[in-house]
Amino acid sequence: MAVEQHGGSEEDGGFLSESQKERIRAFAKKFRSNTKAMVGLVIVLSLIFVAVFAPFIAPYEMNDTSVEDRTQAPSVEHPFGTDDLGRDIFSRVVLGSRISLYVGFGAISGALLVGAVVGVVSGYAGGLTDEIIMRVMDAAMAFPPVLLALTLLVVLGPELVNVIIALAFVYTPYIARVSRSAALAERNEAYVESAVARGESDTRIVFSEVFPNCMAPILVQGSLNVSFAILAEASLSFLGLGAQPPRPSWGLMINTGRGFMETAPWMLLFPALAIGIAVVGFNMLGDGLRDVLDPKVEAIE
Amino acid sequence: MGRRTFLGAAATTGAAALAGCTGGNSGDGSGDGSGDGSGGDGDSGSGDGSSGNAQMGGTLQWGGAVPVQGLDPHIDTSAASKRVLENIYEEVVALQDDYSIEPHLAKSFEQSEDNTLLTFELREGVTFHNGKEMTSKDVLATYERVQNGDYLATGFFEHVEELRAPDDYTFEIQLTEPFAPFLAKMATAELSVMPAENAEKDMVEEPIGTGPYKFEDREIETSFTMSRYEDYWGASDEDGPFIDTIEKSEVPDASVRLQSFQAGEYDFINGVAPKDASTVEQNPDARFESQFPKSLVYLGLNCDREPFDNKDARLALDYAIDKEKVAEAALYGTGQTTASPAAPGSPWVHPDIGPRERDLDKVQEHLDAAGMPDGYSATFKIPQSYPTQVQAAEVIADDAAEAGIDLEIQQITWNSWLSDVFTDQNFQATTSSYLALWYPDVSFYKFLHPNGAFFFTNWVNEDYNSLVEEARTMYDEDQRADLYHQATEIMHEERAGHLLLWWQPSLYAAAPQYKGDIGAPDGSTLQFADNWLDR
Repeated sequence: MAVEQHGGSEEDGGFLSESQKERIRAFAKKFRSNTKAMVGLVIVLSLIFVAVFAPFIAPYEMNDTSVEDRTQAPSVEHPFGTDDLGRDIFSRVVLGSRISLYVGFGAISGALLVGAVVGVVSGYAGGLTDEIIMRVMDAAMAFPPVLLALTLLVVLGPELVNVIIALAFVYTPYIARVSRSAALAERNEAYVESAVARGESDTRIVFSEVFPNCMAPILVQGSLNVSFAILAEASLSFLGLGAQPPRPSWGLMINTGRGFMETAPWMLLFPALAIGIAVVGFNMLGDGLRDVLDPKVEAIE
Repeated sequence: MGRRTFLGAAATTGAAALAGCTGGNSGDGSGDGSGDGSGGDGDSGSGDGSSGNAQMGGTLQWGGAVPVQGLDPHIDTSAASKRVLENIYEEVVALQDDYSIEPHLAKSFEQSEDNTLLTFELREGVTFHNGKEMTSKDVLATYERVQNGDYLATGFFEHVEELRAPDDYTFEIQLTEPFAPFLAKMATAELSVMPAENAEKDMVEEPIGTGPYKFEDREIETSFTMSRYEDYWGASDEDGPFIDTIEKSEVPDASVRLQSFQAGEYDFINGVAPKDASTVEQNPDARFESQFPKSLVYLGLNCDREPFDNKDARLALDYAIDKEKVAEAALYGTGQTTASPAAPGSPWVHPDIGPRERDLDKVQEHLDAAGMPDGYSATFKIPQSYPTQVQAAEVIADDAAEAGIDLEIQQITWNSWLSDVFTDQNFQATTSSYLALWYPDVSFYKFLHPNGAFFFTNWVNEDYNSLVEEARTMYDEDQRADLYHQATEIMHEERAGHLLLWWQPSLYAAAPQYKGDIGAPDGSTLQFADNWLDR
């Protein structure tokens, strides 16, 4: 007993056994040979790089208005041009990546935390608990994500932190569903039966044994949902309920740029491109991860 | 569903008066001049030459900026409603291009020596759109409606002792004391003449007036149609009305509106965004008109809440902002900064007081005096339906940030502005605008005196109040101007809760075949009577 416990905690603590190292090597090999996953990873890593080093990359202060230099076309001085208040669009797009990633990761981390626990518990418990939890989740999923987030933001007030809360709430059921179906499959595995036979508590079985085995589909769903959350943040900011000016949210920049479509198309083009790249990046990473990790489960979109 | 939604709608539109327009209070019997400042850009008069060969008929396709709201002129002050109602209803007296007031539905009027008895001799042969002749009974019923009900102009009847209609074409108003703003009020839609039977209703939904155009049809938030009234009393070959039908399509988005106009869908659009002004001006196939001034945009500071309950905190912000730059950023050179709420060019404007120049040393001085040497932070609520104000807010926030004042912008909808900011006064700083400030009492009383209809920034100064109260009883222009100048000084010194930003014009674009003057003397509504289509 004691020995087993010891072994268990060693695994939890992250000391890798030979077989685990082997599995990781196999995973890395498969991942590398998957073009989609690699392209996605490169895009996501470069985004993270840009976001981390944004203040060093951006040549100008993002909120420095200079009315004389307004709506200038792209030039050497301003590679992406300037906006209606003379701010450098390149700097703003670069700094905007922070907002997108902050909201994307923030919201999905929240959703993962709640959704995965709820889903796995519900899948493992089954019966009435499962029914009740999943019907509530279904009800939450019946609303279109952006609409639900919009409603929440009207109540919470238009602030970036609230955007994260609202989006975390919106995406929780999606994660929960995937986690539940994974847990359902795991529940009938022999290792669960043996754990029950050993007399382990349900809490321990769920969190130390079932949960780790459900990680693959959950991570796939999570990385896909990051892209939706980024898109949703842009939509909310576009509608005026997300990031507030003068924050350089891409969605907000598109909203302003919309009015200048004919005279200064660069105000619209570059933030739109940035959103496109970020979304494609996370989507490809998610898709690739799915191919590599878990070819059986279809992620819910 | 009826009554509740209906009342709700009425409340909303009523309040919309604020930014949408304070259409109201106006004009002055004593003929305050200032023609230059206002008539502005060749609006008035530019069409004179062309109306000689005016053509009858045609349908004007108008792409309108803000959807028409309620249709009861005594209740609704939204600018959009006023723009159409201006053509359907008329008043006993009317505002002229030079801001003087002339008899309109009256042939003549007399004012007694002591300024307390107003006698109007009404025109004969004026008919309502329902075919009935207008008599003093209708005028009396209209005025009694406002006097006894709860309408926009009801407050003005405190100074009215009696309304009389001694015969069919005479109408008398007995005031309790001299009250200069009353005649001006009479020239606004808040006292539009309606048939006696309509005046008995709490709310008029189908407008019947005496104006050159009659209400035809509307689809809420979609379109509004008026047609020429054949029996209009004032019809003439020179002054119209000429156009058969005016069809307003509601196109709230400025970019969409301009693009549809450029594609030839509309003959005329109002509400051209300042950023597009030069595009329209350079377009050889379009007529660009601007009427100055249209509205006064201000930065509202809540003097009941921290940090702006402190005068030095307000002054620090005032010194932190470069108003010229802000106005340029939002208006692309179409507007003008100001430190006085009185219409530019009018005698009420204090000649020596201008906006404070940006001065970061002074900012620090006042921050120290306010006990906030490290600056302060405040939320800054901006109505997102006004892109010019959002642009301005970003520049203001940038300027303020440099001075250590952190203004955190929150974009809110117009409805939440009305409920949170205006009604509940739950704000620290905000921006908004007032329209139709051609009469000084509106400029100095309506939003700066605690009893004014639009008072909401909670700035109270007894000296100021007694000055603007006294000015209401004065008919002599010089004396009044002197009081308003003193009031302006107090506002400026004490840094009133309205930090005035700029005056901005109404900008219109029209097809070349659309002829005649665009706009109305009040600067924000439209009069179509003398307009015609050359095709």
